[in-house]
Amino acid sequence: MKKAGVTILILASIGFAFKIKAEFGFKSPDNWPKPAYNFSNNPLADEKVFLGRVLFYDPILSLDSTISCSSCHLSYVGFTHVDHSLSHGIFDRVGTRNSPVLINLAWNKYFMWDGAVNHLDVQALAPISHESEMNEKPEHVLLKLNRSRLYAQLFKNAFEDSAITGERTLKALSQFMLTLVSNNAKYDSVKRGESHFTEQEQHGYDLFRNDCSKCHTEPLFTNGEFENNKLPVDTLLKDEGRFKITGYEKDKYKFKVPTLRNIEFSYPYMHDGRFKTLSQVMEHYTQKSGYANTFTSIDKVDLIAFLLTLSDKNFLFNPDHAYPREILKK
Amino acid sequence: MPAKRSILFIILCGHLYAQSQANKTIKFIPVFDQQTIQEGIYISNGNQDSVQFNTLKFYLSGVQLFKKEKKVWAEENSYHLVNVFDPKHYDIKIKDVEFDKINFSLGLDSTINNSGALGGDLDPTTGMYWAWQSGYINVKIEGKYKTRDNKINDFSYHLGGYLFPFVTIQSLELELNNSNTSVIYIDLSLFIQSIDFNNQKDVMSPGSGAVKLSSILVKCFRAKQ
Repeated sequence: MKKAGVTILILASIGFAFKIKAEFGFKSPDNWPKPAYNFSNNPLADEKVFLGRVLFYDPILSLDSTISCSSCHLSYVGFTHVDHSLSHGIFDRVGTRNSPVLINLAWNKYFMWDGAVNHLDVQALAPISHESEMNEKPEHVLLKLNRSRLYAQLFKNAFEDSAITGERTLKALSQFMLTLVSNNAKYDSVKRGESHFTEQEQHGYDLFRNDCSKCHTEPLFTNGEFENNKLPVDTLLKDEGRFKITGYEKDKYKFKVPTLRNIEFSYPYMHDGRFKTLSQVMEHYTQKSGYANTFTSIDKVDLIAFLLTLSDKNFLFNPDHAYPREILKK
Repeated sequence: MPAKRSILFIILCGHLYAQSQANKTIKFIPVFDQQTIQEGIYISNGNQDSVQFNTLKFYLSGVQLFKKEKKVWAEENSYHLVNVFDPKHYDIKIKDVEFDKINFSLGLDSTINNSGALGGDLDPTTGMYWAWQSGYINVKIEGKYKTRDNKINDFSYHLGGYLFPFVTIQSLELELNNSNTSVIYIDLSLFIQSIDFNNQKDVMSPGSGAVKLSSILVKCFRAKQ
């Protein structure tokens, strides 16, 4: 009898632990911080995630149906616009900032380089409305979606009726973006005890922990805050960063600290994409900014070797993140 | 026979539901001194200039009713988008209770501004949400100002902002006659006459200008014409 009681207790504990890990349909990796996103207001469901994925890849969100979210956020490079320092959008218009990666967004408190957007649900409104990105009115997007048989069905599948509202559309986009979790790089397998760093990678990791991790904090490789990393101000863009939002002098030239996960593929780097290679980034931090000016040339190479252990091919080539060919080819 | 009973049951339920939902109405009427404002029609500003309004929309939240200083009703999830030029949206429903005073806020608080995508009147695709910087537009006033020498200035006042020090939500308390349809007048003459159209014909982002105009606008709400 006592044995049965213990068994029940153990099973209940396992059930409870599972519930914590997969709360509201979202599975947070072991030992990661609590997500910032409140899933109780938008519990993940397969049909909603799929609707969000279709919307993400559909240029219907733009004025002339030429630009989708994926135009500037390509899955196989960490959902950024590879090789473009400043993203271009509708009518070949060029924006003023480098397209950020979309990785582990559930842990983000602020969005955009200056934190202008305070919640993932409303993030998509910015590129949809921006004249150099999609140049479309959100209310007109709803009109177009409401005329579509495809979306009538997809919304019905997701929400049990086919009503298409701004809230539903934005929350579906959030659902897809919340599934973009990267936690299967070599770094992660080392942390789980399934693999080992090479001597070079370990040396790079030691350097990283000493000199970089204050801002690029593990396991997300960002502290989620805004920092001034002493980049010279671009005289054409004159971007004052976070200051534009808060108006506080102390926030001048501060930008959101980006994650370093999949950095091997997400070039160019910095808010304005001024550096094309990791060597140039290293040059800035070790020589020009004075952050780590004792680094030797071997240190720099070893640190880059460590950064390459943050590449997560399972994430980059996950078919669940890819263009929904079976739906949008029609 | 069972079908007849079902119909009677439905009618009875409908009647009971209607009784439980019986309510009164607060209607908002825009005026300019003593004149009622009509959409797109010029009104004299009293100084040979004239003004017309094409948009007057605002968020109202936290509606509470009082009788002899005692709270008699507080609306749950009390968020309304009022559009005074749209008969479908120029009034709000309140509970059928005796009252002599109403409290509400002009605008939305920080919690709502940080809550992501919401539905109904708070849907961020209603045109009352800033896409480039998160936050609701509490009040939208748009129109034209015509000077005595026939120069026309378009003006747009999109007032909002929830972050310190540029918080724009305003609290309001009005003594109001208790009736089935109570009227609150919005006298925009005070608002318009506070503006220097040479220097401030547009305010469309959070900041000190939006705070100043919001504090003036709240004084335009009154119970008597």
